[in-house]
Amino acid sequence: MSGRAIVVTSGKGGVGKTTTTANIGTALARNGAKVVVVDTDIGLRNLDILMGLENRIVYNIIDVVEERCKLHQALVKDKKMPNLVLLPAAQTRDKSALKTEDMDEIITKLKEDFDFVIIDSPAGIEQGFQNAIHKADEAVIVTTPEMSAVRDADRIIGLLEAKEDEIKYRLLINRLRPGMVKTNDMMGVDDVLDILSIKLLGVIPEDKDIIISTNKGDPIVNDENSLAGKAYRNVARRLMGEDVPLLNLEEPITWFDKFKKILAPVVNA
Amino acid sequence: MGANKRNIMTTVLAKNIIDLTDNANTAQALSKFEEIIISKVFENASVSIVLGEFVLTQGHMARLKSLAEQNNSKIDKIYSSVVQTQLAALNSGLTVSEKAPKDLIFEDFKNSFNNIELNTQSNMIESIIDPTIGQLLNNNTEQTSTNTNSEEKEKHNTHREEILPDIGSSQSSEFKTINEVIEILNVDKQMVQHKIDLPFEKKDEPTQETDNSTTKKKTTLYINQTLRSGQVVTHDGNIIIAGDTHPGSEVVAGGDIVVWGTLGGIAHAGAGNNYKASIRALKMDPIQLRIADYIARRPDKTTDFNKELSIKPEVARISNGEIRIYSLK
Repeated sequence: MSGRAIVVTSGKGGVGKTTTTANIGTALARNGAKVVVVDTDIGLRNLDILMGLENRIVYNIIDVVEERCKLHQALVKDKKMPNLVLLPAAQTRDKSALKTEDMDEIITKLKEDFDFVIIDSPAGIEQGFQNAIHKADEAVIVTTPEMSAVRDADRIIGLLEAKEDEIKYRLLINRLRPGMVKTNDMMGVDDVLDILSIKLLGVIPEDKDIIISTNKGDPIVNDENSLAGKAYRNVARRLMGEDVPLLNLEEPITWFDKFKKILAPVVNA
Repeated sequence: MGANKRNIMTTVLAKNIIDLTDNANTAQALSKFEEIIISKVFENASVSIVLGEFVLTQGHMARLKSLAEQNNSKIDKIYSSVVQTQLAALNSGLTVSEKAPKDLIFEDFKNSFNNIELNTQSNMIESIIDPTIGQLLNNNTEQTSTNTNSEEKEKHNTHREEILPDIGSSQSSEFKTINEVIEILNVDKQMVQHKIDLPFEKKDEPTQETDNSTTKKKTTLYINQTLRSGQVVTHDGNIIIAGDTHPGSEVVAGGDIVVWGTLGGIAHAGAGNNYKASIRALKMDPIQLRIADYIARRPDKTTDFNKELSIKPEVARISNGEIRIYSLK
């Protein structure tokens, strides 16, 4: 079996790479695929916390590279799904502990055993980023509808295009607020696509439940009622080759909104 | 020191029996079972489940069965006092008993299902400690005596500020710095009881050799700072930390560990197979506790930002083949 290695990257920090990795990984596993999520953010690991597996880590990717353990010993099984595992990063080391060749070997081995190898890239464009993208077949570029994040995403796309082995990349727009787009206070999906001119993989709305899920260590895709969770599940289905239309992210108009609208002229006057 | 047992998990019982009757409702019981079975203690073994008065449907039974199968275990018997549950179990092809087994020993096997990969763990300890041995050996031969004169004392004191912040980030190649710190402390703090012993010279010998008396002979590293995420302190003797250790930090000692503050990270006492080692802290909130080749992990908890602030001194040590935490009063 030869699986697909997909790197989740962004350039800018804090746009939701790790959240995206955890959710895409979990959603793919929910659909029955064998999935491994790999944290390459050595020294600033977070993926284990998002997946609630922090207390189960004994070995990490650096232990594998430095031959203190076998690869399979370092894989931490998910609490809920047996077909989802995490390869954690080391917290007590830094990015220089991992070389491109080590990463190649690990990803190649993982691809033999798993359908999907989802690689969480660190922020930045240095060694850590190079390690993460080196053996990837595909890339998910995460951006938020902000000028700075879009600019960094553009830089990343340039770096991916310059890579020797061809890599297929698609865009994921995260933390979109449809309300603000409507009032022209935020870039919309089309604006971002105009600037970057690449294929769109999905759009995830801003959702306060993400914070709760992060703190609980339970990815939002496991929450059936969440809109962001549904959006991530759709992204996973698209990655599996299904043709899923974009979600309607419009916030439903409540009676309270209507009430405010009626009152607005009165209050403003 | 009165030792009161602290109950965290009382679900795993002797003879591969899982008792779920402590849980508040069926859903909680199911998720408890899931947590236990996923931990793989019962891999390649069959388990019996005590369900008490919980009402489970055939769907629930199917879920229990598939969970067990996914983790390479088998459900042997269901103990239930409810007819509906008994029928559901029978329909799912499981053996049923009305009464709880007589020989059920209600001991708290707290964290016993966390002792995963014991054998591989000891390998890891060796590899962590190994690089230090050579370094310490070298230093030991260079060391002349502990009677340092005042001139040297001053020299050390001036170096101290530079050296101390390095402790946390030290990797195996830099263990010399830690050793230097020990020396310094030996001079101006009187914390170190003896000259540095050869670490783990009896490594290959039976574990009985390493008891508390040998632990006491070893040096003690005194650290007066808080350990933050990513910082590691490794020492072959005992370690005392006057400060907190944060999640993501690691303390690895050949002997005992004492944290005069909150222990929040990973603490590994008795590295190198000292099963008598203990871990003490004013407040225990560790991600993992490791003693010799045993591991106990923190139970999965839900978001709780209203943590208890009260100080509750506790000690962790190996007892009855597992790591147990006792309160110190």
